[in-house]
Amino acid sequence: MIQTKKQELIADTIEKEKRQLFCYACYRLGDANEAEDILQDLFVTLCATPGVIENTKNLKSYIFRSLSNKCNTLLRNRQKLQIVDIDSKEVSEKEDSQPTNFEQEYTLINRLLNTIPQEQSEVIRLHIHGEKTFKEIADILEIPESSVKSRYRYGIEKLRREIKK
Amino acid sequence: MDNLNFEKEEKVVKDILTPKHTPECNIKFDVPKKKQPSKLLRYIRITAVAAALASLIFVATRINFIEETQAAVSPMKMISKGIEKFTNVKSLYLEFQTLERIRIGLPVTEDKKMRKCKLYFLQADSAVYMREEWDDEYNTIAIYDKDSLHLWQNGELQRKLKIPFRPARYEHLFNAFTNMIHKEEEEENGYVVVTEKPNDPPTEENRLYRFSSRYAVGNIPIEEIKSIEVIKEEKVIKLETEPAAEYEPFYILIYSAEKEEFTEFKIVKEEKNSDERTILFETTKLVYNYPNTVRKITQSPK
Repeated sequence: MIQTKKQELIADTIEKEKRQLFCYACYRLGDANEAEDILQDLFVTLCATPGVIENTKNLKSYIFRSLSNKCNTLLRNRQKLQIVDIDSKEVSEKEDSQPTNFEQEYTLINRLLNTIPQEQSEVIRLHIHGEKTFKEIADILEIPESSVKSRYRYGIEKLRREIKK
Repeated sequence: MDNLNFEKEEKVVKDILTPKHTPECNIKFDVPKKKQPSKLLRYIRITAVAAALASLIFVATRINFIEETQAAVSPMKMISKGIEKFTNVKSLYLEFQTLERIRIGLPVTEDKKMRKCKLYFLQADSAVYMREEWDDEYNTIAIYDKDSLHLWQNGELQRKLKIPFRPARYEHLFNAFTNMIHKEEEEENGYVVVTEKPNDPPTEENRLYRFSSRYAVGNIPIEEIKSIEVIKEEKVIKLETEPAAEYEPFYILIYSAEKEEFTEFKIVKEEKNSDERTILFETTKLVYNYPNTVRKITQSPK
């Protein structure tokens, strides 16, 4: 395969945004290996067909959007695990303490974010885990910036009420 | 809610949601920045490098290297070291006529311990993966090359299988496959056998199944299995284990020695109480054929 400037641009952009992309994917998927795989898969897919970025106005937003879509697809394809835990007292006691590792932190964060609508949690994830501004999120999600701000605000308010419970 | 209050509330929420234990991403995303040489020169370089690597694989599979840990050296380690020597760089792309591109990172950490690394085979229309995993005892590597899986262990090719599946599914099959190799040497702990007919003990004549789960560390230990029942015309498997079992299986592959094929079962429901843990798996439509690759198992479940 011939190296092209587009591939170099893709690689440079992903490398610069790597930390934010990886953090976002980790806390969507709950598994660092899977996050690495999906990020690599994205990199490979884009490099294999670099022509797709020709019509994109903002490559960073395109990459984040693609990553979000890939995470959604992966999560959708997983069978839903229904756990009926009769001994739930032990579980709730564990969640009260501060997380000491990634797995505990992911469980806590994911549990909270699952209590609000997905459109609100996505904005919050992109802002906090992806370190994106509201303007950038508007570009990624292809919605007005005002919508981003209102989803964020409502999401935060709901989460705060959930935390207080 | 007014803005000042919102800011206070936001701070509380952000404090919880802001990650503090994020793992590190070990991938470096780059492409070689070099001019394309003339076609003839390119052909010569490709052929020379391919020949050199083929020699390295040939040598590596026939010589045992004794290191401090007494572990054998895999071909890929030899290749990595060879490439470092040739090019004096830590990672690079190589082009081959059959495998489009390899990106190789260092397999060895500074304290000379092996660590996980990945090799990526980039093709024109799809990506395929090879994960190199190092285990102190087994040094197992699986190489996925378009439509076949090569499994190397301790420097020797153990299996070569034709597997028509998408690259993204490679990982769980690799895990299941390496578990099969490992557990052949640990029979008292490794296998879980499910007979086609519930409650029948397995024998050489019976059709035998064996398990592997994706996220479990090795197979489910046999002493943790209380009962296994194949129900609903082999569409559902009900597995009862000890409640303290620590594995978290996501799905399992059931092998039919008679049909010489794997059927994948995905977990659909799990219930647990203080006495037992019941997991229901339901079959998907994915079936993989592994002709002449798996030995029959004769161990009976407890």
